[in-house]
Amino acid sequence: MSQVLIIVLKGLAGGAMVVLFSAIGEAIRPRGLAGITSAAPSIALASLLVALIASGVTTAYELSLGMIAGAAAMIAWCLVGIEGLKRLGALKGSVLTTGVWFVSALSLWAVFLR
Amino acid sequence: MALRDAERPLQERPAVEVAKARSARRSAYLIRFGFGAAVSVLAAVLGLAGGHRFGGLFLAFPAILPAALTLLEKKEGLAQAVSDVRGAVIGAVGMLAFAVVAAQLMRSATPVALPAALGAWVITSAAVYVLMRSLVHVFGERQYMPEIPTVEALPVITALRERRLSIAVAESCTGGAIAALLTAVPGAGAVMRGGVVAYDDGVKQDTLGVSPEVIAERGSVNAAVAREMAQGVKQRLRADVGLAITGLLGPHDGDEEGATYIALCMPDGRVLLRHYAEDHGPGRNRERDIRMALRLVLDGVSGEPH
Repeated sequence: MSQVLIIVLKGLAGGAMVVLFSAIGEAIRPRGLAGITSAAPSIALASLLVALIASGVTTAYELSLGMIAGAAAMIAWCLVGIEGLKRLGALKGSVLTTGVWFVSALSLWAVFLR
Repeated sequence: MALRDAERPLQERPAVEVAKARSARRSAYLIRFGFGAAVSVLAAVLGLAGGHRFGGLFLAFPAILPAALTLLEKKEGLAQAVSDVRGAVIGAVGMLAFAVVAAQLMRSATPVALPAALGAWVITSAAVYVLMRSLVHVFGERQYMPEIPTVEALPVITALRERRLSIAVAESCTGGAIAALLTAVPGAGAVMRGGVVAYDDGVKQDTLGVSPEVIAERGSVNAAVAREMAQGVKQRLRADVGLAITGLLGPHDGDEEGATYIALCMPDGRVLLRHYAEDHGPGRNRERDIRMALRLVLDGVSGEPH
């Protein structure tokens, strides 16, 4: 399967999975519980499935390893994001603190995965 | 009769409301589809350029959350957005479990790797959520109103205490939130006389003495009603200053969504008025109204230029 087709499939599957988890999140109350679906592995599930079918086990395994670092960085971003939101509002607070994810994820990747 | 502790709803119970998912706008889902597709493509391209481990990082990139939080803040207020991020912390811990299980099983038990990883996300998230709820039960919520910390009302209470002025509050659109915030400040008892939630026009007339003619002629959201509410609550609760607020928080309250009138009746009978017309969505309108009301009291009693 060509790389372009794989990328397109990952895009379509990722978008669909995000919509599915968003719909689940909309239906759940209270908001604190629904927020769990905000950090659902929607894109990961779609991408790993397509990678497994189209590229093989090794690629999916390598992606999973990278995701461990990304998920650890996600926890750091969310924790900092709570204070960011309180102080700066949703848009500024969440966008400006995204730097925390980049620093954490790239540091973990450089130390453990490269 | 006071509720027994067992009957008191300390926290909202978990529930699934399918109608809520159906009522969400199609455009919101389309935006999320676009974000999801874009991040998936980005992760795939970066994987090709920098290796699959590098691309894998972006399978846990928080790209959709900022957009979702911004929409949520506009619709339901900052407190709900903060609650959502708190939930996202739990989901992120689950996401880490997902990645670890996927990596562990991908080569040794390929067919079950992804279902098991998804199960790990659900179980881990649920376990952390239950743990967090238990901790809240044990330690209690630290903030009464997370969207506007009590500390923001402190200068108002301090200014009133320094000038030995008492205050009474009449609220329509904020439903008692200003009084709740003021009374959450330690020492509020020295200055706070009380409040009236005059949500219904009849209460505005009967309890606060707002003129029925004014309401019949111009409705209940205008400067004249706010003025009479402030004068009425000051007089009837025998306070030195009377604060009043009336507004349309939207989105179902009429054409002037977001319009609010705030009035402060001073000890000498002068009335200071503020009007805000911009619509930021019901959640943020409410926060703005509470903050602006607090600021008006602070400016009024401090003698700042208005």
